[in-house]
Amino acid sequence: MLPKQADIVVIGGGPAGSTAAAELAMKGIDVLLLDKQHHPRETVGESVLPSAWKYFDRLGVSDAIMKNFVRKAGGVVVWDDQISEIAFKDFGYTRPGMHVERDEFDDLLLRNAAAKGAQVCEGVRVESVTTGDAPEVIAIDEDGFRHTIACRQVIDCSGQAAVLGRQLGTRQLNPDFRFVALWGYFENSRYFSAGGIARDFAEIPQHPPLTFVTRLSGWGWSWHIPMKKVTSVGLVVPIEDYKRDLPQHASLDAYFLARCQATPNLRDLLANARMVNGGTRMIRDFSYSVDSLTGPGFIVAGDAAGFIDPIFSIGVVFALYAGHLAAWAAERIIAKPAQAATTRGIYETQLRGRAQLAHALALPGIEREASDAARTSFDYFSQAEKELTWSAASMTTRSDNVVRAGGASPAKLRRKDLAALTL
Amino acid sequence: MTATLAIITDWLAGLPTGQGDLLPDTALIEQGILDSIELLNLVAFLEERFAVALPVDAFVPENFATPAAVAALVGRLADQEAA
Repeated sequence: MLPKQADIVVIGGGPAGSTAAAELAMKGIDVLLLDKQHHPRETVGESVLPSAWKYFDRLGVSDAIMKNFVRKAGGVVVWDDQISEIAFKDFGYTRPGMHVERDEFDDLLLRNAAAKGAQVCEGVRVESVTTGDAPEVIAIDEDGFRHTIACRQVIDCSGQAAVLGRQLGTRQLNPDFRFVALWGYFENSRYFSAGGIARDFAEIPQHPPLTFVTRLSGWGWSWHIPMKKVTSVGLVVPIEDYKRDLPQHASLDAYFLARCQATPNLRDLLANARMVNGGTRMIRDFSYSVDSLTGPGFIVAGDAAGFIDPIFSIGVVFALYAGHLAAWAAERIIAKPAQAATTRGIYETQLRGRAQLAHALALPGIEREASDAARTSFDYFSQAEKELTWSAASMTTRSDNVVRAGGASPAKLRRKDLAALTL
Repeated sequence: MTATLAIITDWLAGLPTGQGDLLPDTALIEQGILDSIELLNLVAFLEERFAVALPVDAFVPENFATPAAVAALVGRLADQEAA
């Protein structure tokens, strides 16, 4: 049963929304979270960096996450002639990264928000938001009934649905980012562990995996993320290549598997693997930003605030950070209305800085944006976080500008270059 | 050490990341003592404890780089409040 009012309404139960709702509930604030789907539900983006632990600790989910998912030691990247590896422990991290099944992971965070006292309603689609000092959320339940919920702040964490960005017309597509992402789930894939040594899937508990990324012929890249039961394998290819090449294959599966087969190292890992769980997924991998991140009665966070293909696994951590920051801002705007403009200003500056950094990591040739991001975000990073970001950025040619703008010197790169992978 | 600096240093020493000796010039952000979460908590603490309001343009890393920098920020904001 949907309530008629709440202090804060959170739209969307992904990592950003669940984090925001849990944080607010823990402070005793009356928070309602609406999700159009029922969790667990499938989504992509399965790799999580160790900087996520500080958020998990606060949310009280660290033990569950450590126990339920695969620990990863770092990453290995093959990009043109360079093979390089980074290990989180070399940067002083005491806990690993994680490879998580997102249906289970997102569900865990959402149930946690409910356990902390947030009211969670699934199967409720938000149709629109009436912004202003007394905002209202117009939502449709599964029986088609329309509900109006009065509140004091709305936090839009609706992901790529971008409820407020679309409604307000402030969502801008980035014309430079024209890819499609194709991915599937494989049983029995081998994987790379420390030192670039390939191992059988069953060895994961003894030898933690690395996330494996390689450049594709032409332009584009692939990911390889071993999880508990299956391995997520994906290709990000320019949309023009996809349109040109797809008709030469009998099906989407055939095209996807052929491109995996054509990719050195990836094909070796998949030699005895079998695609399961319903075949190839495909989305247009676009990028967008939203101009109005805050306004009277609302805050936009997570992918609803902007999206770019999250290379280097920064997507989930960015969502956790945005959810946390949005909860802080929403509570503060209610508690200190006289300072609402300042609070919105801090929120926007911080979130935009992180978004610019993500953008600069994903695309070459945007020097100015990269140096702005370096100033607004890097200067808030610890030395360990900076070195991890520089080192990761230096493993591909996508992120050259971050390496330069961040002032990275070879001495600060804790990257191991490998002569060869051991297959 | 001024009273303001002592209060700020005490608060920072209570952080999970703030163990060990905190000197006025300890690099808070660089050493990971003040991360993105604790920075927000620190702002809330400063506003409550010293009855100051932090404007947007004060929210820059330089003002949080060390305990001394935070104390200096509080001093400037308190002067503005008084003026």
